[in-house]
Amino acid sequence: MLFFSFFKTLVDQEVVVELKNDIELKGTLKSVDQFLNLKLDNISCTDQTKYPHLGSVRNIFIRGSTVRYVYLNKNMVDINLLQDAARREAMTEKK
Amino acid sequence: MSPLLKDCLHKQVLVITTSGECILATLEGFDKNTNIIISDVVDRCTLRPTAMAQAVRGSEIVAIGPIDGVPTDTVSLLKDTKNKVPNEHLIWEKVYQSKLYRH
Repeated sequence: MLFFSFFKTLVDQEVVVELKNDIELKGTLKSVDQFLNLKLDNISCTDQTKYPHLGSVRNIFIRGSTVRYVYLNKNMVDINLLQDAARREAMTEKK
Repeated sequence: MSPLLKDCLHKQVLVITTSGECILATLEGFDKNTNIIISDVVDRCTLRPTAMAQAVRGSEIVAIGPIDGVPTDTVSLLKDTKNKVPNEHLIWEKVYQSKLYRH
């Protein structure tokens, strides 16, 4: 559940999502669910000329299983908080 | 029911599948595994109608987005998500033959 919580802290931030079919989408992260399905608002394709398919789409639901990378800005992540959360998660798994 | 698709219900959506197809249709229903039921299915690449209604398995779905305005231009097929390595067996053959593998 760590990544689910982590992505929940990124809601309303601008991220770039790279899919397994090489499409890169920039947009505001609107919601995440337990499968790490993502919902992006105001999307724009990084390579619009190559992928005109999403021209008339503003909000998109992305199935979590087809995401290759989510690019984040460095200052979006509170590393100390993340380390803490990871430790706590590891502790609960041991029990 | 995953709530993320709720606001797309009964709207015109664009569906991208893992085989690289682009589909225009009306979203009629979905479930927890993102299996979907769509109606008035049109192929986005050729803009030809393909089915009255269709069920798509969740594992075949890449993305779903509601569209505003009907697109009139045809587009090419997208890349699939299979991430295949061409001639992978030749690579493995070399790995087997290499000394690194034997020791």
